[in-house]
Amino acid sequence: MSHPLTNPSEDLAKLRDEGFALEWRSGHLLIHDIPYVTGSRTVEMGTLVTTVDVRPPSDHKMHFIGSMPHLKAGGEITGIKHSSEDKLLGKNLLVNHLFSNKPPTGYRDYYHKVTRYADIISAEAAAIDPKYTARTHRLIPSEDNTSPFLYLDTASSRAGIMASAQVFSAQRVAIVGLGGTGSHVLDLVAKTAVAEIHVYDGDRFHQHNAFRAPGAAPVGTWEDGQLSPYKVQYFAEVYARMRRGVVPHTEPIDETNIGDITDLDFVFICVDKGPVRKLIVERLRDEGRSFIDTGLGVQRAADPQQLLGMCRVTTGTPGHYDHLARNVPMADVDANNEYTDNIQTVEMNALNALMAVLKWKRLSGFYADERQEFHSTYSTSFNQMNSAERMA
Amino acid sequence: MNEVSTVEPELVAEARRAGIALREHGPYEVLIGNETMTFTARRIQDPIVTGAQILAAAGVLDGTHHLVLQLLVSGETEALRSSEVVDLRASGVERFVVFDTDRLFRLELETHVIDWGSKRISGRTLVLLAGRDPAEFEAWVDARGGEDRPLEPDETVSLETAEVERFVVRPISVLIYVNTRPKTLDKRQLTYMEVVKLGFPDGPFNENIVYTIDYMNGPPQNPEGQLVAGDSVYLKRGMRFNVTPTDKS
Repeated sequence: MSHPLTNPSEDLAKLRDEGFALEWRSGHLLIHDIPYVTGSRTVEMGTLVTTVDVRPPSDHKMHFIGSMPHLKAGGEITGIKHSSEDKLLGKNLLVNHLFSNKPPTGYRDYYHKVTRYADIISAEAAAIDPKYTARTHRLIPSEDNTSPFLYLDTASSRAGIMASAQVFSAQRVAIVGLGGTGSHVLDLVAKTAVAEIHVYDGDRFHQHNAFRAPGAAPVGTWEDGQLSPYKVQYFAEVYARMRRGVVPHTEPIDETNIGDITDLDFVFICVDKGPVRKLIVERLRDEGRSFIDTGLGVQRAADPQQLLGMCRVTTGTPGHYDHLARNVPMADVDANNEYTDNIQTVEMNALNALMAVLKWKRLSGFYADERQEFHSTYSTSFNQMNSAERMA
Repeated sequence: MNEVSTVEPELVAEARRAGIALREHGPYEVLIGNETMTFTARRIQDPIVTGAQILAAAGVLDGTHHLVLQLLVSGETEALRSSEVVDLRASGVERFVVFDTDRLFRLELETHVIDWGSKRISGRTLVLLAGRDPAEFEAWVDARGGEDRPLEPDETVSLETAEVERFVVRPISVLIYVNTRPKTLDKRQLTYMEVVKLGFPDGPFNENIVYTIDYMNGPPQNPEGQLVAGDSVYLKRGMRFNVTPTDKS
C-alpha cells in the first residue's frame, strides 16, 4: 500500500502544491515547519499532526509538537488551546499538545483543516517578521511503508491506538489448521499489522465448511465436476482483498516440514488430530517457542435436543510448558468419529478463536494481562470463563 | 500423690467405647474438647474429679464464664458444675467438652436430648456428636411435619429458638450434575478421574487423552474452577460439572 502522499487525494495534493512540508508517519499526516511565537517571544518551528480518514473530517482537533504557541502581543492562543499532555500516537511520534478550533460549519476537507490551524498559528510569527511562513516547500521523505494493508487502518488512528497496534508489525505468525476455529483466527489476525500469516491446511473447502467460516462464501465457490478449492487458497484470496502477507500452504504440518514453523514469532494450533497436535506442541516446546493450542467439544445434554459446549485455549511460552501435558489432549477420543458425534458450531469455533487471539494480544502487550493465565476454558451451559495455570 | 508416672495412663474414651471397666487407680487420660469437637488429651491423676479440675486440665483458670459438658457413651450429654464431682470409673462419661459460655441450648439428635453450649451448631459437629464419620454421614434438620433439610458440613443452625431443634444423621447422599445429568454420590470428595468416569464411563482412557473439566456451584473450599489430573474437589448439593474432550477445531 502506498501511503496517502504517494498518490494524494485532492486536498492533500493542494497542501503539497502550496508548499506545506508534509510527512506521513505511523498512520498520521505531519505538517512540519509551522512557525510559532513562544512564551519568551522568540519564533520556533513546530509540527501539526492529524489523522486522515473520512471527508469531511470527523475529528476537528489537531495535535502539535512543540511548545504552546502564543500571540505576538503575548499570552497563549486561547482560540486553539485544548489540552497539553505528552502522548505517543505511534512509533516515533510523540506529540505535546492537542488543539481544538472548529469553524461553525466544520472542516470541508484536510486542506481546510490544515490551513486553518497553520494560518492561525503562523500569522502571529509573521506579524513579528513577514519572512516566517509555513509554506516552505521543503520535501520530507516519508517512512518506508511497512504496513501490510492495502488501505489505511484508519480504525486504529481514529481511536488513537496506532502506537498500540504497531506492536504487531514485526510479527510473523502461523495458523496451523484452517477449519472453523483456524479460519476465525485468521479473520481476526488479518486485521492486525502482522507482517506474515502462514496458513497450513491440506483439506479442501467444501460446502459444509462454509457454515462455520467467517463471512459468506459466494455461490461460485464450488462448481460441478470441479474439485473444491483448498481451504488455504480460498481464505488467502479473501484476505488478499485487504492486505498482503497471507501465505497459503496446502501441505499439512508433519515431521517433514515442522521446521518451517519453529522460528516464527507465534503459532496458533487449530488442528483436530491428536498426533498432529502432539507433534507440534512438543516440538515448539522443545525449541522454546510461543504458541496457543485451541480445542473444543460439543456434546448432547441430558435433553438430547440441547447441546453442551466447551472450548479451551492453552498457552505455551518460554519457561511455561509444564502445564501442557495435563491440559492438552494429545490423542483422539475417537479418531475417525465413527462412534461419537463430531459436533462443532460456528459460535464455538468463533469463541475459541477469540479466546486465542485475545490471549495472543495480551502476550504481545496490546492488552493488559492481570490474570496471566496459561489455560482458559468456557462452558456454554455455565456461561463461565475459567482461568487456570496462573504463573504470575 | 503416690503415683510416679512410669505407669501408663488409662485411656478413658477408648475404654468406654470398648465397654471395658476402668482401672481403680490412675493416671487417666481424658479427651477434652471445644465446640467444634476438636479434642486434646489431658492427664488426670485422680478418678474422682470436679468440674473445676476439668477446666484446670483444659487450661481454664477462672471458670466463672465456662461450662463443662460430659459426653456420655450413651450419646447423651450432662453438664458438670465447678464444684460437682464425677467418678470417672463409675459414670458413663466418655469425653468432655468445655464451652466459653454460661448458657445451654437444648436440641434433639437422633433419640437423644442434648444440651449444647453454643447457640449455633454445624452439620459436621452434629455428625460427630452422633458418633459417626463425617466422610460417610451427614446431618439433616428433622422438620416436624415438613420437609427434612440436609446440612452441609460447615453450615450452622441456630439453637436459640424457643422450640427444641431436631436433627437426624443419615448416610451421605449428594446430588450433583455431570454434563447436565444428575448423579448421586455417597461421599463428599471426588478426584479428577472419578469425575471423568461419571461423564464418560466407557472412556477411552490412556495417558495422552485429556478431558477438560470445569465446575460451578461448589462449596466455599472450591466454588468454581477447573480440575486436572491429580486434583480433587469437595462436593456440594447442586454442584455442576462439565466434562469434555476439547480436541475439535
